[in-house]
Amino acid sequence: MNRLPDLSISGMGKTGGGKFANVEISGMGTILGDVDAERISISGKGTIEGNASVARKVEVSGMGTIRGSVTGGQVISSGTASIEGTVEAELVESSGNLKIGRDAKIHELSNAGRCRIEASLKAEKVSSYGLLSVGADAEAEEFYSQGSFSIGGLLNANKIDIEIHGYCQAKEIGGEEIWVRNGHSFSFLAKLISPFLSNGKEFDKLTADLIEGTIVSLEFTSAKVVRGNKITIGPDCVVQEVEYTDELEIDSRAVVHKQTKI
Amino acid sequence: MQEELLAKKELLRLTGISYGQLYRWKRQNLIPESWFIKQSSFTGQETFFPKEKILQRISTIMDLKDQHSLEELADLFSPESTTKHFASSDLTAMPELDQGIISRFQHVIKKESFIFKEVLFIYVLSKIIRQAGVSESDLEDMVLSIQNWLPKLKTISYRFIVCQRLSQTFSLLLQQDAPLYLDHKVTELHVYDLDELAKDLKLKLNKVLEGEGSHNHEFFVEKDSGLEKTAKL
Repeated sequence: MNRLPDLSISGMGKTGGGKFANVEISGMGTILGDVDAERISISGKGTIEGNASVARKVEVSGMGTIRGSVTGGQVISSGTASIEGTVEAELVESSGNLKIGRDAKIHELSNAGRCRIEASLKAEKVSSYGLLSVGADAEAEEFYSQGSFSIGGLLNANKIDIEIHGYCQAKEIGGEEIWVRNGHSFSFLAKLISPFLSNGKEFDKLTADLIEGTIVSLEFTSAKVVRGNKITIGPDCVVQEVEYTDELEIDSRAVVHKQTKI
Repeated sequence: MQEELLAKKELLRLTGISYGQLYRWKRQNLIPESWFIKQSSFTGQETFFPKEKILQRISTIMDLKDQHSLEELADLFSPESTTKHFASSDLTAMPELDQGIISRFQHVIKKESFIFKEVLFIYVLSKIIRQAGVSESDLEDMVLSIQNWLPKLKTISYRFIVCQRLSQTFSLLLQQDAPLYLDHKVTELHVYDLDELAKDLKLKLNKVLEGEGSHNHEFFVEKDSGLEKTAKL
């Protein structure tokens, strides 16, 4: 059996794409075409001009740019990684800065740094302890956040568990169980995140136009409409309208302008 | 004719499903994105659904969800599914498809109903005939080639190319990204991207299948029996 060759760029170099076992860029390297490898590791400044397909993982600990799409096992970034195309992977783990230019379909997304997905996100499980931003809709079976997030479209998950740290925002939120708690941010995180806030966005709050779920329990949330079967509106919530079918509980420190039992 | 719309909360009241279920089915693609119609109302924006379609779909899901997984159901509702068959009577109702080609396929493949891949090629050939006009014998050749190709195709990421060398035409099926270098006497007459055409066709098939309520029901029943077979395997 032929073993595939390794590719290693450790000075400054450019090379074509191809099929490899291990690809390692530790200097400043550019791969001009598509790469198909067991493992890709970028620890210097590396650029792949084409698509990357990996059997095991892509690791970026320096500065990595992939102009095409990534498919395969794991994408692990502890540096600055930018993938301009789509991502389809088993696991994406970011503890640095990760940017995905188009749609992401990921079994498990774990973010402890900054992760920005320009288009939509589909996942089984999302857990974020940093700043997560999704341009369009985000879908998951489980969505956990203990940081900040911004979702341009609908956040749709079976179980949504949010501990607010900094600024949390989604256009709409829908799911089976929705739990929102205040996380009492540390001031350094506030300083870190506030430059990214535009005017009128509130710190340490969740904002959404619409929140709908079978069970909804909120704290520190501003929403126009909240609908559900069993709803709890906790302290520091401002909700224009609540519609519920079974139960509604409103904390004395919350403001609800209109409530309807259906 | 404008379809009657149903507000989301009305839907939940009528069917007794929860918000969680509705969002889950949306995630699993059991309810198409295009059925969620946003309209502004006095409370901001509200979501409405095409009434007849959504009620039909929810009752189908409720009937089948205990025997089948949500993945199986999603497969059932998507037109590319290999378990889904389109009756030739449904296809003749589509103006985009050429009658002659449909009957040619019926003749060659010897089937009264077609799976998505087959319909896709009927669509491609209908386009060729309309845009260019092809001789009877060339068309016959294309149908025979397609018949040979079909069992080998796992995806539809291909380009269908019609070439001409001197006075002879021939067709090729080439993987989506594969480069093609031809003899200098050969000219490419037509290139069709099957992925792109499949997207068009899917929308058109959805319209046909959702067109009539009664028809729709028949279609689901037929699918139901098909599914039971796969589930037992």
